[in-house]
Amino acid sequence: MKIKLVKLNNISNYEQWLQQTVSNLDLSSGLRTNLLNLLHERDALGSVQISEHVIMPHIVTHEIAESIVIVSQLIKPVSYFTSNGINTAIYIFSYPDDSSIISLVNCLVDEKIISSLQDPTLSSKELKKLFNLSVGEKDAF
Amino acid sequence: MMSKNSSKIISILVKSGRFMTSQELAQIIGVSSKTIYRAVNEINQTYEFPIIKSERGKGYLLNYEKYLELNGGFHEKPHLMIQSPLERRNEVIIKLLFSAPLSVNIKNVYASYYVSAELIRQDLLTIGELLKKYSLKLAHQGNYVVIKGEEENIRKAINNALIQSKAMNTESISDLANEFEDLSSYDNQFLTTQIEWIQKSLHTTVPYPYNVNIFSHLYILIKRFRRGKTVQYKDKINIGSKYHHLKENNSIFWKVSNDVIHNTADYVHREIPSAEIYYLLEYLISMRYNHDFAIDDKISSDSKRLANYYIEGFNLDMNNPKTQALKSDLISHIRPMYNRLNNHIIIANKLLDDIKSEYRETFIRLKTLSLKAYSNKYLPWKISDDEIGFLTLYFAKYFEETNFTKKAIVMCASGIGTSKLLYAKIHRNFPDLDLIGTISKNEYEKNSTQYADLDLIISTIPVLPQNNEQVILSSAMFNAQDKNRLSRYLNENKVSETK
Repeated sequence: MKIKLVKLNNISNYEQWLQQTVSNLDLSSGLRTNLLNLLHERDALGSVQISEHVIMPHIVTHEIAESIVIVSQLIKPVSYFTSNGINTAIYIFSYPDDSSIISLVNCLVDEKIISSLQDPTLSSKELKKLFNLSVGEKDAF
Repeated sequence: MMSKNSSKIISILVKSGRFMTSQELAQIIGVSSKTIYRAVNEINQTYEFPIIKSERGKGYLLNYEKYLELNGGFHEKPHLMIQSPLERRNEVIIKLLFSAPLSVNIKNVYASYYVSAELIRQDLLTIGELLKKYSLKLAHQGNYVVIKGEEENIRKAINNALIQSKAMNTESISDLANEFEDLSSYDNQFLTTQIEWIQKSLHTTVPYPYNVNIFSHLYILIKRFRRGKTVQYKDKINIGSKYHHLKENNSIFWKVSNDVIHNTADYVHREIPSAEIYYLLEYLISMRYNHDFAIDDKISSDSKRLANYYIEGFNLDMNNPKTQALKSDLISHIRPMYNRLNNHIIIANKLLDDIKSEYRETFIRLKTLSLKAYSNKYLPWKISDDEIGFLTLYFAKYFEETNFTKKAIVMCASGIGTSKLLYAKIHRNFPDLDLIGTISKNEYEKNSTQYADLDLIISTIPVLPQNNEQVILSSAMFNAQDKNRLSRYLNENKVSETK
């Protein structure tokens, strides 16, 4: 599993956030389009909001060789469905039955972790520590 | 982007969980009924599905299920600090009653509400109707109004109005005391001492909400006598014939009541008529105490009969020790309930809305049983929703303590995302629920026969049950609404298993 922390200051809405996150993935253009479609399909089913200010857009696909997690923080919050103050997203692109993703999601039950993920001073090192990943774990890019 | 009015309407409907008329919504928000109509249309257009249902004669109801479905995580808006017409009228009634027999300038009474002359006129008509229940009359004299009637009735009306006001949404006497701005610390101390005196004399404790009822009764007594505004009591012969029997049968309570009224007379430096001893006695015998007094009278046998009737109404096993415990609880509650009904004493049930929503089926069944009990003469009076709410709590406790295990699975689109989070949150809040794991919608639809023994699917996305399971939609946040819905399902299914 690759994990990366991203901080963005030029996002004005959720769709732009999705597109920018997917376009920054080091994958082929066709695959990036597929992933974006899958995220849209997931949103069509229902909300992925997991906390007052946090969403977890996530999909499972065979098309990627390894799971990718992007923790993305916004300087300026955006709206998502009826919530206005979404400032953090945990994007998960999971390979099927990836136990490392299951462990990561289980960590998100802890309110302290959810709160730390929204901290603007969070560093990549601290992010990996939060999920009990070794600091040498690969970055997403 | 929805208008401010639309957000307020959704917020109010989410909180109420019932049909509300456009007039009710309009009065709470402070707009016209037409604005409500337009805003509801706007909401339904925004959601591309009519999430607000409207029915002629009933009003508007939010389809929370659909709302969740379309909205996913619903984020509750902050509580709207808007006073409802009911609360306004109640405050006005209290002001008028406390002033009786003196008349009050209606403009002064309504000065702080900023409402139109027409609304005041309508309010006074409603108030006049409400007062008729207590044999009181609202009389108009130009810009002044006055309540006319017996002191006993005025006091009962005050107590009942206070019970319905926010002042009674408290859990302790100190909370209650804080709600009365004109209650000095000396008065507070005096009243608290009287409650302690009652408890000490009866060798028991008086639990909530009964302690609050006595406190408010004495508070009203002090306030009325101190202001010297009481009206004439009915003739003593009438009081004597009505209360002689009561005194004979409740000598311990009568002595305590006598002591407290004499203490109060000393405290306010006023002579208090002996009728007050009887009024307080009515309250004292209408309370549930933390230890039961061994009273073997007709009321006790009637209470047993009614407790048995309710238990049989739920088809519960009488030989089960838990049913025996329920019966004993019910008898201890019903006995003072009979006295309350006899003496027209109302106790507020501040949990009523929660009880109705959390234990809806139990509440409805008890309401139906109570109506039948009235027609079968098991109950000589119709009982209020507040009283049914208290009875519901005893059954809710019974059902919670009696194990009816449900087998459930948590579902989302992938089976690893929101369902994993929801699983952990449900497990933490409902440890007794038999959660067998998480699953993706696809996996479930492909292998549905494997899940034929499930009772329940809790899902963050809409899904059609393939077997006999029930589906509950929930947000991944598992907020209070979601918890309530699951809790209601579990409780209702316990009740339905007893049918």
